[in-house]
Amino acid sequence: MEDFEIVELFFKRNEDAIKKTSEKFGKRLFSVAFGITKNFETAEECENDTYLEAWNRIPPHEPKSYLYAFLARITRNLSLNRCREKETLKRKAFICELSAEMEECIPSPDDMNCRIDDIAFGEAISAFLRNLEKEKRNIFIRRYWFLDSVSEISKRFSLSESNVKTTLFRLRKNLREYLEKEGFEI
Amino acid sequence: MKGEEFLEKLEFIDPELIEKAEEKPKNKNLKWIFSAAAIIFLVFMIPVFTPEKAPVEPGDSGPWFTLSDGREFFVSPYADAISNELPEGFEYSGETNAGGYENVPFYTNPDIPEWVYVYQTVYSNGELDSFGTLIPTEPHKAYLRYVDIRIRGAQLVNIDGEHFISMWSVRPYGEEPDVTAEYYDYIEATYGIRIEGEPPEGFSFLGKTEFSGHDTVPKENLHSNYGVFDVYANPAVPEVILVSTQWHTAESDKNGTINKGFDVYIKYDCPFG
Repeated sequence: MEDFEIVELFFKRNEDAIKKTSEKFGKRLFSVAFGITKNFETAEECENDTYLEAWNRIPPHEPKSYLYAFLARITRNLSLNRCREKETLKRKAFICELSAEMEECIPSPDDMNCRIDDIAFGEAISAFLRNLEKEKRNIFIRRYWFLDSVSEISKRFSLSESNVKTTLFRLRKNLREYLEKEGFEI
Repeated sequence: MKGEEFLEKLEFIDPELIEKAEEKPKNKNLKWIFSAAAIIFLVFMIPVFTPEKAPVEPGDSGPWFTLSDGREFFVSPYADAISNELPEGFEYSGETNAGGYENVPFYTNPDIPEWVYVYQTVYSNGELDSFGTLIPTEPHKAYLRYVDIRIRGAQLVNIDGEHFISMWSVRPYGEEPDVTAEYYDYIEATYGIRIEGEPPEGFSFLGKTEFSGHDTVPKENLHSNYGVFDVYANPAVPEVILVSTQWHTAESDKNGTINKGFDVYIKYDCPFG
């Protein structure tokens, strides 16, 4: 079934929308959740909660051309929240580690006020990423969107771990310079 | 904005970039994968090229099958899985649906419960060209090895009767995980999956493995089903061994690098131990 047909089922409040979404994207959404939570049961919960959240958000949202990315974004958020809530997941430390890495990208980390909106922020980061070589771009996204560990990335791209760490370090530095150059105050 | 908020807001990255990052990159150094893909391709293509037998139900027509006792088998990823003669010790055990066919004969051997041979149409003799790709032949019948999914692809080393599995191939998830997620996380956090350079302090040379054969569960001390390697161990850390490895990384400078180091293997309760 095509994505737009599934979205139409959501619009018609037809519960088959959940079933079709699960059939088409379930494994990938579980994979996103498991990659973040590293816990089988929690990942299953996040996957199931994604369907509920999608049911509540469509409509008004109408992600006909990017349904998977729309769902994966929800799964990512839910999984991040679970990691923060559940100390036992041991993933909180990992999130802190990633957050610390992200602070290296922020031009004015002490400024608590977010002065650009989410959409503009997304566009700015996307523009930065589009200008990178494919492999570097995907390494960045795997690390900070899918929250893969360095070893997972090194395995995925057949690179040494030190190579991955160096690449990420340079990318964070470049992103910070890019945001400063573009005049973003974050 | 704090780092955590920054991390959270990355969700607004262009969805197209996210989808592309989900695609698996081309593997740079694992020649045998081509053989595996070729074998799987051959099995998948059978219903297309030989219409005289009907494929089984959709979703059950791939290179796998489940025996009546619930054990699941998947086609071996290795070229030597194809054999014109039924290997010694295997006997006719009935018929199953496998590789897209209904009612094909299968053969088992009580001494090697992790293998099942299926007599079916294949498109290669299992010979490889210089690039490691299977050389295609006319379709013909042969015995094709299927492996219990619990050990298929598992890189194993036997040390004094105990089995160690590579962190690359161990599964800490699913209904029947090889090891618990906690155990896996602990080892990953302590040693990682692969160590570049010299072994950590305390690890010393234990011996060189002998190759026990693809898809086997090595039964003898210092045998590996993946190849011949140097093994390092630390008596203070009995749950871990290090197995020598090397890998190639290609940089944009075109020259590339050969990296040397160790794969981390962990002790586990092998179902065929």
